[in-house]
Amino acid sequence: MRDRHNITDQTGKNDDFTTRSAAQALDIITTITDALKFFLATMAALSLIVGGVGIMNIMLVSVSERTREIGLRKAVGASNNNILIQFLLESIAITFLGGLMGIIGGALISFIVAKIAQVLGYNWDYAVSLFSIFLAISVSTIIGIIFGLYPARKASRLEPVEALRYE
Amino acid sequence: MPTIILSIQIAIRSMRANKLRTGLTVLGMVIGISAVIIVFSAGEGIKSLIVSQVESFGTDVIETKIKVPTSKKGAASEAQSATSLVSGVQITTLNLNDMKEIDKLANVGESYGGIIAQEQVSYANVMKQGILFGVSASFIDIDKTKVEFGSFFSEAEEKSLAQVVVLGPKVKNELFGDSDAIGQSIKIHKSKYNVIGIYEERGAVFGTDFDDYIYIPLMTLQKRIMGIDHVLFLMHKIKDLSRLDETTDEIIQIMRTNHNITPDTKPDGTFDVNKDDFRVTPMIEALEILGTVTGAITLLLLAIVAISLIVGGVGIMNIMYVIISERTSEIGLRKTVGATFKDIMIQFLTESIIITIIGGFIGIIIGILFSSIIAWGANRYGLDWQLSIPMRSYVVALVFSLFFGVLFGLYPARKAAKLDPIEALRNE
Repeated sequence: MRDRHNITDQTGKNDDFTTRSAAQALDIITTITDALKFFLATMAALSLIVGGVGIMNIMLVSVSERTREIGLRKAVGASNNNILIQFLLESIAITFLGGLMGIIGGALISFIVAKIAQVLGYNWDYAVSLFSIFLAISVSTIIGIIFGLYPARKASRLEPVEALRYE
Repeated sequence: MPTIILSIQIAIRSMRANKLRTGLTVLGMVIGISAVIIVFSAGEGIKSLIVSQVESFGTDVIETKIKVPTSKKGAASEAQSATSLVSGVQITTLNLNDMKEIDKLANVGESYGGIIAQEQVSYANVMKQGILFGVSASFIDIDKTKVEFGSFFSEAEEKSLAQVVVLGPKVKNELFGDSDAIGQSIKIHKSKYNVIGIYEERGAVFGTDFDDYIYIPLMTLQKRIMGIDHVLFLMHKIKDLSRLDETTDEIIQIMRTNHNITPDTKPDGTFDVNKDDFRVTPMIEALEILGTVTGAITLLLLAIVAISLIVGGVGIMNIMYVIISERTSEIGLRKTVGATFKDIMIQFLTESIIITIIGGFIGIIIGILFSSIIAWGANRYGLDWQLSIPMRSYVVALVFSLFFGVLFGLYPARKAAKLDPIEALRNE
């Protein structure tokens, strides 16, 4: 910054313009990073939905495989709610387990990425926030509930007599 | 051949027998494939948006722009310079004298300088926060855009600090509505400015809406409104594109001499740009960089989309196992009446491939649908977004679905084909 122009006009009007255009520039940068984050999150959410659909599918299979068992449980006095909770817990257990393993896998991969970046000379900190762990666990539980609900309801509404006669 | 036809028949029957299950399995694939199409089309859309915007400045143009000098080295300093500009550091060193010097270069045709300001503007009782875009009269010759009604200001008008403006179409509509604007005068900063032209519609990119600009002679804006003599950027039109690199270097030399900058020499003999208070970028280079960036982003998104395809594929594999265990006795029967390892293998592979191919086709249709909606929405939002779905996205989608069908169908199919017929028949 060593030149003759340096002294030019630093009046209030000039300042005024610079701050405004600066805010504008910041706005643009935030918009772009926000849009990118949103897009990435949407794409990641897609694979969660696909996984959820897979869970729903398998839960439906397991309900139809265990129709007789459901009939038996109902015949000896299990209420609709008992059955509903049984199957819902099963799907939540699956997603919760998947969530835990996903956290370990994700942390491991982020660690490797950070290590590689550090080797390449970037100032890259390795940090897995508590918030992201919490988020991952709650999201996996919610996925379990959403996609487990339909199969579980289907199981709980089975007619015990029909179910026992099944196959 | 008959084996395959039979396999397809069996597969379709099996898929029909459990419609909900088949539907859900296909759905997993549909989501992934439509995401592939959407990512490709969005990538193309953003690229076309940026390219058309940059091209409207002209591709035979070199830009000299202010930059905050930095002390650090390498890529970090680029970001540092941008942050300093955002946080309000002012660079007032670039001015029309630099432009005159650069114009003397043999390969430089014309140049224009530009600066942006915000002022309250009004017509009758309509008030608006207007963005004033001060440019030299030569802007209209270099830029690829046109004035739709009236005319742009002349060099004479600029030199005499004439109080004239050319309005972007949005500003015109806000201030004047449908009535005629040319010949009327608007108020900026308490003085009257004559409207001499209306600019053609240009569209916006990344929040910069040229239709919302008020074009005003550069010197009028500098002297009468802002009271300054620097500019934000200079644009130079180049006569001979093949000598682009040479001219870029010459401009850098002139700028360094003008601004008394002695650059540090880097170990490899080239000069370090950190001390410069300007940056010289040929538009073509900017175009290439933008192309690379959008390409990289598209690739990153595709990688993430591939994850959902894998998840969908695992779902297919899961269901194939269920199907095989349900149909164990059927497999045993087919084997006892003479079906070979290959027959059973083909039968189950056909089923998983049919599922992924159907998923692929539905995914493509839904992807096209969503891409059209995105393009429509972007256009409504005022962006010049071209809907284009590149051929390679269809190819990638279909190859992906076929590939995943084979990949995740292979293992279950092998398991089915390996079943011992006697054991299988005894099952259940």
